[in-house]
Amino acid sequence: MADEELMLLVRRADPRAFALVYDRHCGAAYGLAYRMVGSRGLAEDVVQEAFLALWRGASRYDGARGSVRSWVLGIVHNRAIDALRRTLVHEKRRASDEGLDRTVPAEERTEVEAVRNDDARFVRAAMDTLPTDQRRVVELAYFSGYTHTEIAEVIDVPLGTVKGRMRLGLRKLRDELGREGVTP
Amino acid sequence: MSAEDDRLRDEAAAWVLGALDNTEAAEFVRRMEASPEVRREVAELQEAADALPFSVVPVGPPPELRDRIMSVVEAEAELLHATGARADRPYRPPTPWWRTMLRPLPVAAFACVLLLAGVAAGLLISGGGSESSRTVAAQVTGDGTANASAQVEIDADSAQLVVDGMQPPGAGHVYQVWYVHDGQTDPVPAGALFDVDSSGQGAAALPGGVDDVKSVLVSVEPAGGSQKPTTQPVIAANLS
Repeated sequence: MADEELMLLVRRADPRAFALVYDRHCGAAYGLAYRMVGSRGLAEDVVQEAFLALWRGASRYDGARGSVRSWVLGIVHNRAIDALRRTLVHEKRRASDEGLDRTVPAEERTEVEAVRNDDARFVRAAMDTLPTDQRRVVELAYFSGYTHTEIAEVIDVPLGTVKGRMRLGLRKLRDELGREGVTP
Repeated sequence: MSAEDDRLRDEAAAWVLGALDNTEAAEFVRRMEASPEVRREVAELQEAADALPFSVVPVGPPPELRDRIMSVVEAEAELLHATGARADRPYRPPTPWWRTMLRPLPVAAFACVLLLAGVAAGLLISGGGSESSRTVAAQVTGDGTANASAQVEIDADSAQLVVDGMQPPGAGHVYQVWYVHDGQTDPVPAGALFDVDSSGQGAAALPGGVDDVKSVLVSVEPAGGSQKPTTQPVIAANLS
């Protein structure tokens, strides 16, 4: 059953449909949450908040505006930023994907999904095409939850420069993704 | 394009990346809505921002997390289904067991809010005067609600509560919707629970329609909901 069909059942408070949605997207959600907050406990809290928000707000999902996974990851991103700004753990996080693989205990490492689909590769490749200064501000903002003002202080450049790099970086990323035909 | 649009376009990337603080973000959204150029810029940059999480390696969360989430979901589903079925039938007075258990404070508080809701003349803001479609503004009370708003949107065959600027209900808690039916004074579960996002926005479909409902109330309850209100209401809408 397609995600969009499952969401119709979730709107009718069907826990089995919700469980399927969770099983399909929990890995991507947890990976993103961990990448952002750098703490397994906090990542679990973020994922729990995000999926309960999905359960309680399923009627707000609009398939015309994107995939279920994209919607879930958007919720996770917002909740993770809230958590970061609430707990001020900037200095404790920033785990890289590779670091995350090492961080997960051995008995759980088998659960690390090996799937790195084409879209993920394309997104990584597109990000690799960005100039380093543009990629850095995009990642500091999106994955580390810094505000543009904080980024200007951290990398010691004017705020206007940060805004410009963000915009140029996203524009270039969009162009690269468009070239590959990737849509989230 | 105006100088204001230029300035907003510079902030559009920060906004789609979540890099504006809450105050800046609220101001940006308000100004963006008035500028088609800026909205177009946001839509284009959003496509790139939406792709960013797809670059992250998926990681299986611990099974205990699934268990915790499903326990809440199944409890809420049970409550929703129980109330939904009842909502399809004509209203009957609640069984007396919970009336005797209802603590005095919430009862008094709900009574006060009902009174306030009842005398809040002019709160009805009709959406064009149609009998089958209307919007009712609700009263929001409590700490940190100075900028909060809530309204009940009623169509011919559905109704929903929409809130904005609300504080989160807190860890392990949820907002729960209650009905007070015509001719009654005690609230009963509507079968709707909801949370709010980081900007305080949230919505809940109101099960069973509100034709025989005179008031819609909301209180903060433990995750999974309650059979009777355990805290003072924070939202009250008079539908009469």
